[in-house]
Amino acid sequence: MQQAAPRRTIVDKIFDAHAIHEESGRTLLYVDRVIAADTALPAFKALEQEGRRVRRPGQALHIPDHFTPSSGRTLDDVADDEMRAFIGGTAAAARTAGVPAFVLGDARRGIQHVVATEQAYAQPGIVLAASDSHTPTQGAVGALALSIGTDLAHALATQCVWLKRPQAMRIALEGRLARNVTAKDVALALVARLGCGGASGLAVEYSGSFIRELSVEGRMTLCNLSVETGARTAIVAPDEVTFDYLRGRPYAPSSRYWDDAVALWTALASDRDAPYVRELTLDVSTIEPMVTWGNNTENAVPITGRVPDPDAETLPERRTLIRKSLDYMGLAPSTPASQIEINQVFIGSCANSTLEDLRAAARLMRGRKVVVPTLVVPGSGLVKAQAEAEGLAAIFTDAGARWSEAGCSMCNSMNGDVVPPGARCASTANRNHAGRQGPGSRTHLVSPPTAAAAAIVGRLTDVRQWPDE
Amino acid sequence: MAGFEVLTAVAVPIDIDNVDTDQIFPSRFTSKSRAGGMFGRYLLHDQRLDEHGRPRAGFVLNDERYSGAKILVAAANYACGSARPGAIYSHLDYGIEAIVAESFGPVFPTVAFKSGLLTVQLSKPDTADIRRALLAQPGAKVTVDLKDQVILAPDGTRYSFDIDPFVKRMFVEGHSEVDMTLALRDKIEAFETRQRASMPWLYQG
Repeated sequence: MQQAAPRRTIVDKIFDAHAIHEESGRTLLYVDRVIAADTALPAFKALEQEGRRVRRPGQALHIPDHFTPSSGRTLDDVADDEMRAFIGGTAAAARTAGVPAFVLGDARRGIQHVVATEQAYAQPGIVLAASDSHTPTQGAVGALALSIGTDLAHALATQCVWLKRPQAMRIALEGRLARNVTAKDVALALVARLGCGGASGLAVEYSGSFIRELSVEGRMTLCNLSVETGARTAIVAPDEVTFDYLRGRPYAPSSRYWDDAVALWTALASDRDAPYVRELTLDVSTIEPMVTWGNNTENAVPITGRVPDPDAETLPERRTLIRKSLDYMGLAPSTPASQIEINQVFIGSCANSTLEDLRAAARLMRGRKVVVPTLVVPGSGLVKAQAEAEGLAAIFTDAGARWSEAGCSMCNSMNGDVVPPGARCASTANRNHAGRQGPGSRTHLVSPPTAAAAAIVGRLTDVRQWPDE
Repeated sequence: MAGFEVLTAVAVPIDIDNVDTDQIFPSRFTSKSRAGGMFGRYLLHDQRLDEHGRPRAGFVLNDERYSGAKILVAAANYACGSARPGAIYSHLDYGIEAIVAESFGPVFPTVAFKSGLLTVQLSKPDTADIRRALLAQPGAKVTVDLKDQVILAPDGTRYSFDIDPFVKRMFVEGHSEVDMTLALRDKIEAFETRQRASMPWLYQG
C-alpha cells in the first residue's frame, strides 16, 4: 500500500528543497541569495584573514544602510570617520570579492529589506540570508528569509547555512481594518498578545482573508514585527498579490521563465492539514491604533487604553519590569495613551518606509503643519524618487518635516540621527529598547498615520477620528 | 576557536528579563574597532555607566566582588533584538565565556557558540535559584560542565541541561565550520547544478 506523503508547510517545502546534508540534527541548507550590509566589514575581514573567498559573489548583494547619512549621497555626508571607514571599507571589500553592490550614491540604495523586496531580489521559494535581525521582513514575498548574525562570513564563504528545521506557527488574520488602522497596528497587537518570546524559534506563517487582500508592503510590516515575538522567521505564501507585485521588477524572472516560476511558486502553498505547533486566529476588525509605552515591543496598548499600573500586577517580576520601564519612559502609571505628549517624530525604518507607508502618513499631513521636529526617511532611493514625483515629499516638507535620503536612520541611530536624552519620539520603527534611538531616548512605536497625526498635534492621538484633510 | 569542556569561575547574576542587544552593546559603538579586545568596555555600557561615564551604584557588574566573572546567569529572553555581532564580542572581550539563562533571543544562541561564547538554557526556577544564590553570596563560583551537561551551583546543587550535540562538538572541538561545510563541496556543487535547472531565473544576466 502506498503511504500518503507527509503534509508540509511552505517553510518545510522550501527547507526540503534546499537541504544538502544532515548531521547531528542540523541541516546544511543552500542559500540562494546573501545580503551584506555596511555592517559586513568584519565578515569580509574574517574571510580575508582565513584566506577564503566569497564562494558565489554573483549570489550576494551589498546594500549599505546602517551607517549611511540621511543628509546626502556621498561619503562626505557621513556623520563621522568611523562610520565612513565602515561604509568605505565594506564597499571596497565587496568590490574586491566581486560582489555586486548598490553603493552610496546609487539611486536604488536604501534599507536592505525594502530594497531587496522592491528589486525582487527576494523571491518566493528561495532561501535568503543576511546578518540583520529583520531579514524575515522579506518573507512577505514567500522567501525563507533568515537572519544569521555572525554566520554571514560562513554564508559568504560557502553559500550555505547550518540550520535546525524550524517548527511552524500559523497566524490566521480575518476581517477588515477600521479607517486609518494599518498592518502596523495589527503587528503591534500581535506582539502584545504573543509576548516577546511568544513565537520563540518558530517560523510564523500568516494566512487568512485579511492577508490575502493585504499588499506586499503590509505583509512586509507584519513579517518584520514577527521578529519581536522571538520568531526565527516569518512568511506569507505567494499568491496573485505577490505575482502582480513581482512582475517586471529588476530581479524578477523574465517573461521567458515567468510561467514556470509562477507554477513553482503556486505549489509552495502549505498543504491542508500541514503541521503547526501553534495556531492563532485573530479578527482584525476590532483592532485599534496601537502605541507602545515601554522598552519592549510587547508593551503595546490600544490608543484608547492606558499605560499599566505596576501595583495592579500580581507577578513580582512583571511589576518590577513595568516600574523600570515607566521610570525610564518618564510616564505615570495609568496615563491614558492619548495623553502622551511627544517631542519628535520619526517616520521610516524597515517596518514602515515603503511608498504605501509614506502615502498613509502624507494623507494625514496634507495641508497641516507639524509642531515637533519630524524626520521622514524613505526605505529606498526609488521610494524616495517616486514619493517626490507624486508629491508626497512636498506634503511632508510643506508641513515642516525633514525629508531625507534612504536608510535605517533614527530607528537604530547608527548614522548620527539621534533622539536627545529624555526626549519622547513617536516612531514607526519596530523596537523601543532603552537607548535605541540614542542614550536616554524614549520611543513610542506607532503606525505611519498615528506618527503623522502625532507630529501635527504633539501627542499620541486616535487617528480613526481624523478627517483626511 | 576552541571552547572549554569544564569551566569553573565567578558567576554574575543579571536579574532582568528581556535584556536586549541595545542594552548589551549600544548601537553607537558598532562602528568602533574591536582590535585588542576593546569591546569589553561596551558590555551593558549604559547600565553600568551614567551619562557622565561614572559607574552606576547598584548595578551588579559594578560590584567588585563579581570581578573576574566568566559566567553570566541571566533571566528570560536574554540578548533579544538586533543580531549585531558586538553583542557576542562584548561578552567575550569582557571575559564572559558562558551565559546561563531561562531563554534567549532568536538569533543569539544559534551563533554565539561559534565565536566561543556558550549559551545554556535552564528552567525558570533553576535560573532563578542560581541567581538568588549568587546575589546572596557575591563572588561565588559556578561550574559549567559541558562534558556531563551539568551546572554546579555555589551550594553544590547540580542542574543538568540539554545541549544540541552539534553545538557541543563545535564548541569544544573548535572546528572551523567553514572547513566542515566546504568538505561537503561535492554535495553543494551537485545541488547548484540541480538548482540551476529547477530555478533558472535566479541565474539570469
